[in-house]
Amino acid sequence: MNNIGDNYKILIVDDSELNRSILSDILADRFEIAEACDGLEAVNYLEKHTTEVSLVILDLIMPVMDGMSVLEVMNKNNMIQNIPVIVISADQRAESVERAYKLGATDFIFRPFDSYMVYRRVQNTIMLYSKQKRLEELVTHQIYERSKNSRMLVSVLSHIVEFRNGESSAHCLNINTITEKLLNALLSRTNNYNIPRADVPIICTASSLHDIGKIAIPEAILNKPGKLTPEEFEIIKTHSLEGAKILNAVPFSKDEPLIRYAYEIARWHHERFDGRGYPDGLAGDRIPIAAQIVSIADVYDALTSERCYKAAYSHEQALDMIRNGECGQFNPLLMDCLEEIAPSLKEELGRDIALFEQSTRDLNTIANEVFSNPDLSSSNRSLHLLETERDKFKFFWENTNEVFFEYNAETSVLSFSKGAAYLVDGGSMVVDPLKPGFLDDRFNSIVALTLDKVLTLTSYEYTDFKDEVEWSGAIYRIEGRTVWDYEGEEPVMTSLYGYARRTEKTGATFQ
Amino acid sequence: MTIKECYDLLGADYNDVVIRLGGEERVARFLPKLVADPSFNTLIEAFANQDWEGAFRASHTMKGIYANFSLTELQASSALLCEMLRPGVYNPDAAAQLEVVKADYAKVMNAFSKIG
Repeated sequence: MNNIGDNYKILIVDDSELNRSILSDILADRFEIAEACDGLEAVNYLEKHTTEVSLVILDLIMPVMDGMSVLEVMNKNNMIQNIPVIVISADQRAESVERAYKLGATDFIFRPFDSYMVYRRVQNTIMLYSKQKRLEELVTHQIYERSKNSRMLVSVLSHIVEFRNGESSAHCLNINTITEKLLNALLSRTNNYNIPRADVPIICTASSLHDIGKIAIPEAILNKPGKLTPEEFEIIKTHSLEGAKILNAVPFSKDEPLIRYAYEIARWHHERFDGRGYPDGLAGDRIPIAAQIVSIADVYDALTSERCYKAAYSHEQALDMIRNGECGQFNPLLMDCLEEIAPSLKEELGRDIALFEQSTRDLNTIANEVFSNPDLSSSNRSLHLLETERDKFKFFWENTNEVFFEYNAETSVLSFSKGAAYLVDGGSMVVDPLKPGFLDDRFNSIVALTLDKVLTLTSYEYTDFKDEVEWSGAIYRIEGRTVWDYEGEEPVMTSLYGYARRTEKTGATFQ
Repeated sequence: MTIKECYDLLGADYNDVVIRLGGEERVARFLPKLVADPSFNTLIEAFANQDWEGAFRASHTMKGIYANFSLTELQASSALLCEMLRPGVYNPDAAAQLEVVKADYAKVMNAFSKIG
């Protein structure tokens, strides 16, 4: 009897007391039993105990409300999707059987019923349903895990790139969409590049990280209105190698396809097919295909977007400029793909943005929507979710003079609020600050001090820390919390956040 | 008289009911409930009140429970009555068929009264 036991409740619906008691007797040693003597009683019971009932045994001919009507109600309130119904009836007419099945009955047992068969069918049905439920949970969980992955990356991206870079938040989403379309168009033409279909969403997510290296470029150059000097342009150009360096330095998941694609894209999305791009001057298909695709997406979106140094070109102008080679040479095959997707591109990009403007939904909803609507990729959905969270976060982060900081152990990124940035050499972000010696050597600030205290003085048992410390002649109130993942054998710290606030006290009075 | 002897007397298959209900013990336990079942009285009452729908339901229940107890004769006569009373196809022969059911029912109850 595999895992079948008393925690499954069966509702027996029959107007004959004799029938109910026989069925109950057959099933009661393994299942919990509830009884209803007509359809109305059954519906009332189901409405009050929806989640408790694992299966309904339903008679058809009953006074007050018959079995078919019960099935109809269960269809109306969607219970039929979650609660299996086995019809037991002496009515063997084909039309009744067909109608019951059409109304969602799982099984039909004719009277006279055999006790062993009733028992077996009930047990099998319950096992099938619980197996399906477990599978649904598993898939939901995996989608959750996947979107968590995307969240991690997108949060790195948003922290690092968009904070400092005047680009619109739609840029990454547009790159995502164009990349996906180009990739699908390419895959329908050839599989010479050995890209499994399953990698399409991964490459799209990785495309978000194409400009990650801009973290290393001074803001004054990034956001300079007007033409850059040749020297400044040379500095901008370093962002592709810098991005590759950052991704190469990610302490975890280096072998993940996501990180591998992101590396290729960050490093080579400014290469050109004729070898005249940068940083490595790769030519032809020596440039990884993911990077080739994202470079077209990037160029198209850059042309059609307004930037601090230029107005937006129209869709048609942008396409012409790419065709004429004004933005460098691209793979002719990809140019064909671009022509193929071009007509729908303008419209689709607009629609995607509208999609992301919808309100935040919880992860279960995402999972459900993915089930019922294969056209929406979960990575787009989660991108939208994160977009909202990131916006909120960014708002507070940018508008406070307090010294706030957050360390994300998954990404090894330490970020600071604007109020803290002046304390840390003007930056707002540090990668891998927990490397041995890093805090001592690289920057000495109240943030480093607080971070160090929180790290050493909290644990998974005592996650919070508070103190007053002296730093640079002033007294600071510092507070922090570590967040732990308790799922595995050993609790693992996933993030840490805290703040430092200068008090009125001076160092002297404190002592 | 034992239950088996009683079934033999009625020309019904005792083995069949034992297998169907999953053991002699359960048959013995539920037989008194079968005797006490109100469906037959409900049928008579409904008929008297010309409540054809009620009569249909009662005969339908009888057809089911007697089939479960392998009481073939009574099951067959109730099934026939049930079809005559099925809503929309009322058959004037139903009254005559009710008398057959009454006779079969009396036979079964008479036999069961000798168990002990």
